[in-house]
Amino acid sequence: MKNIRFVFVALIMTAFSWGSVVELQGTPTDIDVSGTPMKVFPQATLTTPTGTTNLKLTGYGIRQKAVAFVHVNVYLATSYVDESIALNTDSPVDSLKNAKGRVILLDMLRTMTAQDIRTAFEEALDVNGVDVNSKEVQSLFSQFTGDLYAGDRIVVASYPTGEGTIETLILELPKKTLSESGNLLGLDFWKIWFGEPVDELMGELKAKLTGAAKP
Amino acid sequence: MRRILVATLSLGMLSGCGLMDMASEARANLNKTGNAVHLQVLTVALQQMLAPVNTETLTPPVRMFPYGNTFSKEATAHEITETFHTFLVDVKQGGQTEKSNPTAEDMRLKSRKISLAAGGVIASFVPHEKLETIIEEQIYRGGRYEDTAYVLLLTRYTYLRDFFFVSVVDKSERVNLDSVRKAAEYFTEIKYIAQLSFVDRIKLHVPQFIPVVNETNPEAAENAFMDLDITVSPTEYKLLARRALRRFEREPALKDQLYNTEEGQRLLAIFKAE
Repeated sequence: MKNIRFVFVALIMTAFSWGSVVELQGTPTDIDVSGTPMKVFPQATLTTPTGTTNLKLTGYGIRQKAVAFVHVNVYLATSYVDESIALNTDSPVDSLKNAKGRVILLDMLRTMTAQDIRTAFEEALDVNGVDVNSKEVQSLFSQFTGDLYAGDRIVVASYPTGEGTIETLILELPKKTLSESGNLLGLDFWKIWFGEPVDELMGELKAKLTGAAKP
Repeated sequence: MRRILVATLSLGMLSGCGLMDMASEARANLNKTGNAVHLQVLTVALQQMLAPVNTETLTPPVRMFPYGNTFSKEATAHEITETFHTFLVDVKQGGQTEKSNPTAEDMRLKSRKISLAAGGVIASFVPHEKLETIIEEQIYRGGRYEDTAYVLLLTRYTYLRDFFFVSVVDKSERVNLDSVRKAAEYFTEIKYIAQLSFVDRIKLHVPQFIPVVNETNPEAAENAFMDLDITVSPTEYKLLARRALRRFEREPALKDQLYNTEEGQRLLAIFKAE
């Protein structure tokens, strides 16, 4: 009976891991974040209803947040973009416009509430002139619940649906996957990391994600 | 008869002088006692702020808050400035080591962070009238602690934003009208500092204060430190205001109170004013 239960749990866990739209590929680089070993893969594939897009690593870095006079590590961000795109480090958002796929992995380095993440995302969208009260953004955020712990991963993926400028944005959280489509919705979210930085430390991360600075 | 009158008057005058002496002595004693109590309150507050049990956590240094509050309420504007200055000297002093790769211990990082936190807590709780006195005496009239006054303003701004304002707007599960009142109070202080004519001078530079994080070469980063450089963005308060409004409007009952009551409208206006 115990074995059956174990197999059942394993099946469910496998189903979850199979559920991701992103598959990481290539030989990973081992990195160390404050004593925690992590891996960064050089390529990825994004599977969408219209097919599979090959993505290349554009950069990675730690999102640090200044809390009063201390810098805290929030997450390790790893960015992948459609391999046919040449990322312009001066205006990365412009070069991301025509990407058939974009992925950002956020590996949490500290425990945060969904509220914390939501607030941080909203503020960064606001700085970039994105309407955070739009139906699509609010729909995503209203489902964004539960705490995130160190070691959890958020997968943020976006791709064009093929209907004009409509894009689908997928947020894979540890326990659920959120999906929403809207006019340039994915690109709007990418402005969080590639647009106007919400603070100086986000500016440093942006430089690492675009490859303008070394990790 | 005349002699008696003179004698009586002289006695009266003498006893009057005695009474006056006694009164002034009593007043002096009272002052002394009052001063001793005043100094004792300040000393105990400082001792408690720096007690190891109250300095375990510094982001935020919550255990220091009650004592910092007492200190800032009791101390005069000048005492606040002088105490803050002492902490700042310690923060900037750094390590005394000659090593080319000093460790965090060499840099006395922990104790310097405690000093900065203590200064920040004191600065956060300074009543607004005393803050105006500090600005007047040290900045407008060019006091001995002018540089310190700028840092005091910076730490007040940073703490009010990162710990106090955030605790209401971002960290509370529920936000009600009283939370909005408190957020408005913090916001008003933040905006006040951001709009000071000398905001470009409100900055802090501390050499070798932040350990460097290097993902690809952690060993090289182990003993590397960055300078701490903080300034006040004169427009950041607008972002904070929008953040607060978004949070308030997420609570249907509160939204109704804010938009349909006189007090609600008044509070909203605080966040909406440019």
